[in-house]
Order: sequence, then structure tokens, then C-alpha cells
Amino acid sequence: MQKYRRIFLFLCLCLFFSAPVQAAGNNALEALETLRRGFAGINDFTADVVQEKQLALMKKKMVSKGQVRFKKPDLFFMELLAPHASRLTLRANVMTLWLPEQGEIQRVVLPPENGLDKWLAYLDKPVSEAPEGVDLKAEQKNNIWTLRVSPLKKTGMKELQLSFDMKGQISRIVIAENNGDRTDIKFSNLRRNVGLKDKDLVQDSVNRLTP
Amino acid sequence: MVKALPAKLSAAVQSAVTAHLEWVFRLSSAKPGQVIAAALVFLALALTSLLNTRFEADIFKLFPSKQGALKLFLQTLQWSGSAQEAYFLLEGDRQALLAEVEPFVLRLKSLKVDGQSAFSKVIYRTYDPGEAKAFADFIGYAVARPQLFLKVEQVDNFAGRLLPANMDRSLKRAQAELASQAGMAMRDIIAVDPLYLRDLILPRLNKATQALDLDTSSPYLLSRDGRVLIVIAETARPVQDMQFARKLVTGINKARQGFSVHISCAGAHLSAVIDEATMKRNILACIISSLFVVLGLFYLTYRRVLPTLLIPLILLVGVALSLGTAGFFLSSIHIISFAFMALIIGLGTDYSIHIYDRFYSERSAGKSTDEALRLSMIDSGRGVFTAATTTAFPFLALMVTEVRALSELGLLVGLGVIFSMYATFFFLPPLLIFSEQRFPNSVYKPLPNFGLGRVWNISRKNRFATIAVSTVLIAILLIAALFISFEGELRNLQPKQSEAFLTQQKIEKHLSLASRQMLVAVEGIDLDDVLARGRKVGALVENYRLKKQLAAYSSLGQVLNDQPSQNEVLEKLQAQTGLRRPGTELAQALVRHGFEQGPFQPAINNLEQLKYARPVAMVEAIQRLAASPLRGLAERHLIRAENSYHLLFYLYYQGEEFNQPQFLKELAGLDPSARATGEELVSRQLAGSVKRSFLWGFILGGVMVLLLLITHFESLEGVFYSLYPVMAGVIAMLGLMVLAGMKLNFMNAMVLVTILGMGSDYGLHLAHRTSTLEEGQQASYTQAGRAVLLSALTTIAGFGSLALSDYGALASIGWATNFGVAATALVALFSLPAFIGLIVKK
Repeated sequence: MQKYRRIFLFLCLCLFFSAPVQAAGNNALEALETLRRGFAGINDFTADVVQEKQLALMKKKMVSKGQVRFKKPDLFFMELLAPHASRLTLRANVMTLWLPEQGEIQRVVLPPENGLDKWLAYLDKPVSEAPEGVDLKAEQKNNIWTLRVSPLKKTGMKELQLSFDMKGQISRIVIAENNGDRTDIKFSNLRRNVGLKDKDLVQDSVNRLTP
Repeated sequence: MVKALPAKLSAAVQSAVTAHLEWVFRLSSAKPGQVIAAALVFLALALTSLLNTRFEADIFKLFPSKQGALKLFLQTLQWSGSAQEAYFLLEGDRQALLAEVEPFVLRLKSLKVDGQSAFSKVIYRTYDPGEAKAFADFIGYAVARPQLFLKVEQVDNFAGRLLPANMDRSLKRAQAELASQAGMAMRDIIAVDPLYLRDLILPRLNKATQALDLDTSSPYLLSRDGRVLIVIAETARPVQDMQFARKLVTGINKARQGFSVHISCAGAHLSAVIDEATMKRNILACIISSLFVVLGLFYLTYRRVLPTLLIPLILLVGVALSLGTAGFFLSSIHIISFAFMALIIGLGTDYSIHIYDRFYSERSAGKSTDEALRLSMIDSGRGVFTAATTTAFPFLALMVTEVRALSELGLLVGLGVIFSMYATFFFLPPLLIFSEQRFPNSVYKPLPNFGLGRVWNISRKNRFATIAVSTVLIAILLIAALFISFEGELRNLQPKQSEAFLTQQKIEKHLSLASRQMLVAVEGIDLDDVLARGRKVGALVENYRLKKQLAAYSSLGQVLNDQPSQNEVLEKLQAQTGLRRPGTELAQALVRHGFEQGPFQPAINNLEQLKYARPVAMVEAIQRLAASPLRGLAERHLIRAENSYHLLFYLYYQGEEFNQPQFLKELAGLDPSARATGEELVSRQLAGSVKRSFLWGFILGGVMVLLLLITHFESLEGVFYSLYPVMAGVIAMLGLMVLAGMKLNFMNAMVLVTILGMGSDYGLHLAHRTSTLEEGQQASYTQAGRAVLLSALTTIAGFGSLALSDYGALASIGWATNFGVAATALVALFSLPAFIGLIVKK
């Protein structure tokens, strides 16, 4: 369950991408509100990513390039290219992973309490308090915000770190886990409200099998 | 012989009955205040008893469940927790179902009764992500023991995955999954099984876990056609706790409002509560409609307000006292038994009709109030007394039956008839006296004779023709009656519009693995012994599957290999892997693909140990399965209850192709203590119970009626006059049922017993008034015939309301009785004058 929470938290925070707003101060709530307001103005976005994963199971970092896409109300897509190609679609709380090289499909239903709807609803309202169950810390250096999110309860995830500029545009997300695993994603070439269609986020074969 | 032996006894009984009626008449006419006071005391006592009576809504409590298939059926409901489960069926298009299920489940989870969560568990997905770690642990255990979980046919595939080239392919897949955002969730399972050996084991386990035919590509419990989605919720408290169940149903009804998909609910016991309101409405509608018809008939015939208004009071007293008295005998009364009130309305009015009709006729003929009252209360009263007892006793005889539905109905109707009769005897005289005093100038105009005078004339003048015509008609109906068959399908007796019934039908249509199911239980105290016997039963079941008599089956033996199969798997596997060392090869492949070796060491060790593997003890395997997220598989097939182990086999079949008697015979030969249950077996058990009940009810009721008739008439002719119409009526009833496409069933079979008591009244009343008198026979016939006709109509009104009931069981009783009563009354009215004329002349 905790692992899925982490996945969700990550995916939802990816949605803060294009926040062209001014930071109001240097505390965590201000930082979070900056992201929220930015997100409120977008219908869809697309961005290129470079992901580095350091896992306890692997000797070396796994480096992947790819792209993320989002379309309101609840469709998220992330594609990683070879050598570890995968396409992940998240619709509401059903996650489908397609491995094109292997021709394998995995499908997981995430707990409803962690559904995308709930997070999107949270982002709809002005941030007046931190989300339940997490500790937030933010600092601003050289016009870059760094927001650190740590679960209050002991979970697999140690910390989620987001870096974004004064316009609220995220440049990096780092997920650190208690077992030493670490995922570092850098974003570039962000484009907002480009008029994405559902089919741009759901590959044909995935779409066919998505419940 | 009839005259010789019981003559004295008969005379004594007649004398006692007359004396008793004299006493009742004296008391009721001279001391009405005391009668009313006594009635109020009895009513108060009945009310006290009623307040302490528990009313049951559980449909299963209506049938004998202490042995046989029904016992096992109810036990499995209890063991599996199904008795506590509520099933929610969402209907709509696929996308709508998927969109609505989560919000609905959230509502169910947050539903509270008395401040506590209403459900302890809500299942709506095939897999719970919260158990990912436990699932990974179990997979690690399972792939390390292929001898236990792998089908012999899959050994080649398993061995193939241990080849270095295939290891490379699997590890590439693992890398891709780990690199994806889903990788965090897959890390543990990849560590215990980097070669995806689980792909060969999980389908077998999943298949056996499923009791429903689901779309395997959906994570939800979605039907293959995508039309329905099921949510299974386990109630926090027993639903037999009616207060809890009622509040729960209120909460459920609220929780399912406002969705774009239709949500219906069913459940073994919860259904009764869900349908409770409908059931009550149904029964109330029966009671009110029959009351209106009965009162309408009475008023239209006699045009007197006070006696018409007295009838509801008589019926109320009859019903209240019978319920109160039954409360002393029964620990609880089933709500469906309230249908008896409709019967009391039909039967209890008969006595008022006979007595009042006689009183009215005598007054109309110029007799004084006292004289008319005496004749009606003592002379007609004697006929009424015998008629009431011949009606009540066959109903009371049903108490000996093992089917609660019938014994309870028998007791309530039997008591209701007796109390209604006494209420008539005690309340009618004072009311008539009061009425005469209050309205001294009342004119008693001649009553309508409904053409009965003509009937008498035709029947008497054409005796032979009348007898011949009625005999031919009865013979034709007898031929039709020979084609009567028995309805064994319990579902056809259920309420057709009941939500639970309709939901159950939809579940069967969209989610059932096969249309029919049989469950076999192998039981014992020692688990090893049970499993050993289970293997033999498993082989028998498999044999029937191979013969295509079974569509499928599910058992523990299907997912856990027994010792011989384990040896076979190991032998083949070890032969295929030969001198290779798959553990070492995995370690090398991991290095090649950049994996750390440490986290995979258990998997490496397990593969390395494969060549030394030995069969696993079944007890250990079951314990491990029960502790895993796939525990449902163990819980469904192996139950520990009542200090015994119960190994269950679920057999799915379509219908006639499964030779059940042969299977059960072979099962008994293989394991004499093995038990089996299923809808057909339960139906067969109930049919057996009903047959026994019918036999005893018929013997007891028949003997009682015969004795009462003999003591009443003191002649065989009198007995014939009473029984001929009812025998002809029974034949006509069965014949008409065949012609109407009806069948005998568990409930309406008992009408054959009760019609004996009810139907014999018609001949009795007619014979009582006409068989001995030569003068004034026609007038007596017209008077008694009118009362018989009205009695039959009021009985039909009472039972007729049941015929319109939504409950197949009640409706079948209603139709059968109406056919029987109508035919008996017609035979009595048309044929008896001819028979009486013929016999008296001789």
C-alpha cells in the first residue's frame, strides 16, 4: 500500500509542472500554493524526462529517457524509451503498464483513498494547510524553490523532493526510499495546454485493454 | 358396524355438543356483559403473548434443516461466511460501472450502524494492493516448491524458464518493470521470482480462487460480458439480529442512491429483510382485499349493517387469539405465516354466514327471535360445530409435519378456525338480540336464493342424468389429474418481484460458472485422513469431468498436488534440469544484466536446491496457503468447524447430463460419510419431507374428519354426502391444475389435506338440513345451499387474494384451494340433491 502511495504522490506532483505564478514567500505552504495555482490553469501538458534510478536490486543506476503527458480530468501517461521501454497509463486509480519489448501488460487497481480524483480535488482549493500525514519543508535559493515532503508515519518512502523556479515550473523530482533506493527525474521542454487528446495518452493496445 | 360400535359414543358426542351449544347460547344471550369481559381478558392475554413472540423473517427457517442436503447447505453458508454476506450487483455499461464502483464502495465502507462500521470487509477487486508484501512472500514460497503447485503438464515450461537464454529474457523484463513507475511496487516480487515462474503457477491458483465467472482482464469483480459488477460485503454483526439488519438495510438503501448505475442487493439472510417491506405489503394487501370482498358479499346478501360489522370483530378475535395461543407453543412465528389471516377471513366468516342465514330465514318464515336464534344456534350450530372441527383438525394435523412452513400454518389456521367459531357463537346472539330490541320493526324480506331452487328441481327431477353428467365430468378431470407432476424447483416458489430473487437471477445469468452446482463434503477429525479420502473423491469427480458430465469443478486438490503428483513433477523436473545448476546460472545471469546478487540470494538458493527437493507435507502447504493473500482458496475448500475438518468440492454442471444418482451412489461407495448438497438435492429432500408430511397429514386429518362425520351423521350415507363432493373436488382440483399448467409443489400439496376438512363442510351442511326431511326439503336446501355458496365465495375471496400474491408458494396454495373449493361447492350443490333423492328413495 505504501508503495502505491509513493507512486501516486509522485505522479500527482508531476502535475504541478506549469505554474507560471509568483512565489509569495519562502515557507512550505507558499511553495505548495504556488504549484497549486499554476496547475489550476492548465488542461493538459507534456514534457520530456530523464530518469535515473538507483535501486538496491541493481548495481548501477538505470538511466531512462522519455516523456510524460497529462490531460484533465484524470488521465496520466509516462513513456520510457529503450533500453527499459515501458508505457504507463493512469486513469483515475487504475494503472496499466505495457512493456512493448516483452509484450507484457500489468494492471493494478490503486486504493480508492489514493485515487487521482482525491489529489486533483485537493489541488482545486487554495492551500491553507499541509496535506495530512506529511511534513513539508521548503527553502528558496537562487530563485529556485526546493520543497521536501516526508511522511510522518514510518513508510518505505523517506522523502520526496521537488525543485521548481520562481514561476513554479518544476525542474526536478527526487524520491528517496528508506532502503536506499532513489529515483531522480529531471524535466525539460515543458508545453502546457497543447490540446492533447485521450489517444495521445493511451496507446492503442493499452487503450484496448484498459478497463 | 358403524351403528353397532360407535353408536353410543356417537350419541354421547352429539349430546355433549348439543349441551355445549346450549350452554354457549344461554351464556351469550343471557350474560352478554360477562361474555364481553371474558373476551377482553382473553384478548389481553393473547396480546401479552404476542408481545413476547419473536417474529422471524429468515426464509431458511421455514424448512427442516437438521439433516440432509439442507443442513450441509446451511452449514456451508455459515462456514464460508456467506450467511453474513451482502451482495451488491451494479448494472450498467462497462465504463459507468468502473466509474461508479469506487465511490459506492467508499460509501459502503463509511456506512455505520449504531456508531459502528456496518461492514467488516468489502471485496470488490480481485487483488488487494495492501497485501503486496505477503503476496510476494507467498510467491517466493510457491516458486521454490513447483512440486506442490505446478501441473505436471507445465513442467516443460518451468524447466524452459530455467534455461540461460530464457533467464536473460526474464531479467530484461524485470529491468523494464523496475525502471517504470510501477517498479517500486514490483521490487519485492521480482526479488523472490526474477524468472517469472509465477506465471505458470498463478493462473491455476487464481482459477481455483474464483467462485464467479469473471472478466480476468479486469481488476474488478466484473462479469465477462461487462454488464454487471459485483461487490461482496461482510456485515460486522450477524444479520439474523433483525434490529441490526433493518438499520443496515436502511443504510444500504441510502448508500445506493444517486448513482448512474442500477444497484441491487441480495444475501442469504439479508434478502429477507430487504424484502420484508414488500412481503408485509403483499400480505396486508391480501388481507385487506379479501376482507373487503367478504364483507361486501355478506352485506349484499343480507343487507344488514350490524351483523356485517360484527364479522371483522369475530375475525379479529379469531386471529388475535390464535396468534396469542400459538405464541405459547412456538418460540417464534415466521412472518410469511401471517398469510394465514387471509385464510381465516375466508374460513372464519363461514360460521357467521350459516348461523345468520338460518336466523334470517327462520325470522323471515315468521319464527320469533328466540325461536329463530335457538334453531340457528343449536340446530345449525351443530352443523357449524362439526364443520369447523372438520376444517380445523386437518389443519392442526399439519403440526406433525417436519416442514415448519406447513406446521406453523396448520397450527395458526386450525386455532384461527376454532376461535372464529367460538367468537361467532358468543358474539352473534347478543348482537342479534340487541339488534331486534333496537330495531323492533325490522322486516325480514325473503333472501335471494341465487337460483338454487331451480338447481334443486333440475337435480331432483333428473337424478340419473345429473349423476351421470357429474360422473363423466369428474372422470374427464380424473384423466387430466393423472398427468399432474411435481414442481421441484424451489426458485419457482420465490417471490417473482423480490429484489433478492431478481438479483440472484442476474448473478446466475452473468456471473455463474455453470447453471447448477453441487457441493460435496469429505469430513473428519484427522486432517491427513480427510485429505487422503479427499484424493479418492477428487479422482471420482475428475472422472465425471472427463466424461463431460461436469462442466468444471473446484477443489483443493486442483491447486495443491498430492504426494504422487509431487513425485511425478519432481521426477520430470529433475530429469529435465539434469546436471545443470539453475541457481548458479541465475546468479551468472544476474551479473550479466547488472543486478546485485544479494537480494536474489534466496531465489538463487531455492533453484539450486531444486534437484534435492522432496514432496511437501499437505498440512504445511495448507497452512501456508491460509496465511497468504490467497487464503480464500483454503477457506473455500477446507473448513475447520465443530472440531472437524470439512474438505469441500464444488461441482459445476449444466443439467441432465450429470447423472446425479449414479454419482451419489459411487460417492457413498467410496466414502460412506461424505455428504452432498445442491439446489436439486435440497429440493429432493424437501419433496421427501412434504411427501411424508402429506401422508401423515392425510392419515391423521382423514381419520379425524371421518370420526367427526360419523359421530355427526351416525350413518354411512351422511358420511358419503360429506365426502363425495370433496373427493370429486380434489380430483377436479388436480385436473384443473393440469389444464391450467400448474404443478404440485411443497406447499400446495398440503391443500389436498386441508381441502378434506374445508370441502367436507359443504356436503355436511346440505346433508344436515335435507337428508332426513321429506317436507320442506327444497326450502332447507335453498337456505343451506345459499350459506354454502356464500361460504365458498368467501373462502375463495380469502384464498383468492393469496392466488394474486407475488410469492409463488402462496399463490400456488391460493389457486389450488380455489379450484378445489369451487369444484367441491359446485359438486355439492348440483349433485347432492340427486344423490340424496336417490338414496332416500331407496
